[in-house]
Amino acid sequence: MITFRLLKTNHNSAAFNMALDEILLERINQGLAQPCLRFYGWQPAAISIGYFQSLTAEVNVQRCQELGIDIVRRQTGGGAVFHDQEVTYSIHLPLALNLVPVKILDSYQRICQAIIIGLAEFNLTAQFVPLNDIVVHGKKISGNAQTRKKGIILQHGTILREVDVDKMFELLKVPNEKLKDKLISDVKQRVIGINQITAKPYTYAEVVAALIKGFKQEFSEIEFKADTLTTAEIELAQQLAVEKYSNNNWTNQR
Amino acid sequence: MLSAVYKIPNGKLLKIFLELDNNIIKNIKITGDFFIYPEEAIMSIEQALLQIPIIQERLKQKIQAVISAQQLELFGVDIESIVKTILLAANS
Repeated sequence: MITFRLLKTNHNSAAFNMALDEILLERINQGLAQPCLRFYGWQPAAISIGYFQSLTAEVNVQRCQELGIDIVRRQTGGGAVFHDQEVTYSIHLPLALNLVPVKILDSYQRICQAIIIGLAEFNLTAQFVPLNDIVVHGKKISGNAQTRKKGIILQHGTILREVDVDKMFELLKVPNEKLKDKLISDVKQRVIGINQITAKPYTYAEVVAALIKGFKQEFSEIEFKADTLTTAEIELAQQLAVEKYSNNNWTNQR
Repeated sequence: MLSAVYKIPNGKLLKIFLELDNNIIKNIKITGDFFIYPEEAIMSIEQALLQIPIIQERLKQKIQAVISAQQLELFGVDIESIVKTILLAANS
């Protein structure tokens, strides 16, 4: 049986979160760390943008600064996300372990299946919608993004507990201001958080616990072993957070 | 700076920023919520389009050449949409 580290790193800054995903991949690549599944949150709340997105076209930078919202560019593609009342996961899977299909779309689906099983803990019937979404009753509850570097899949994604679409659009730019109200009402119809469906609200910790169950069930060939970050991992991530993920050269590169 | 936004049918939202000199591309940024593997290849695509005139076939060939040479995988975006959005931006 293959052993994965199970890391609960809780709430950290956007730059640290994204730096840690990169550092863990690098350490696994160097043979210094085992593959891992990690759960985390964002403090302060943050906007992350996809690798290919234009910062100034997508984000109201000034409003984010006024409200103390972090902004970070991810190393993964996909869209802008407002990270607030949610649980985020990341999983690092070396392709050589043959745990997920090599085909990108199929590998998204396999990993997302773990989340779908986790959501069933709350009696939610969720479905994978290619390329990278999970929906409940046709509404998006989870967005996911994957990169592959040095033979390792890094997939991270968000599972919404509660979503504040009005706040989100205060922080994001829209292509056409005249259509903004319509867009906001459309998005309200298309996005939902767990606690906006379930009879009782679930805490961050409860959602993490449910998702762990989902991963254990879907990846029964993996033994997930609770672990903590090493001092070296924390220091390297803090360093990379400063040098890259909170640096304008990276954030504003497109 | 010229620009165009194009929602790809069944795909993602493409936003292209463009600078032209006598209909020749001087600077281009292809942005959006799509996926290209490996990601850094977007810079090779943009680089390959520099000094190229706004002619549909030429743009298409240049992008195709990079995709083939680097064996890129695209999701939520395709060559036709990129070319279409460049043309939209050029005429904006």
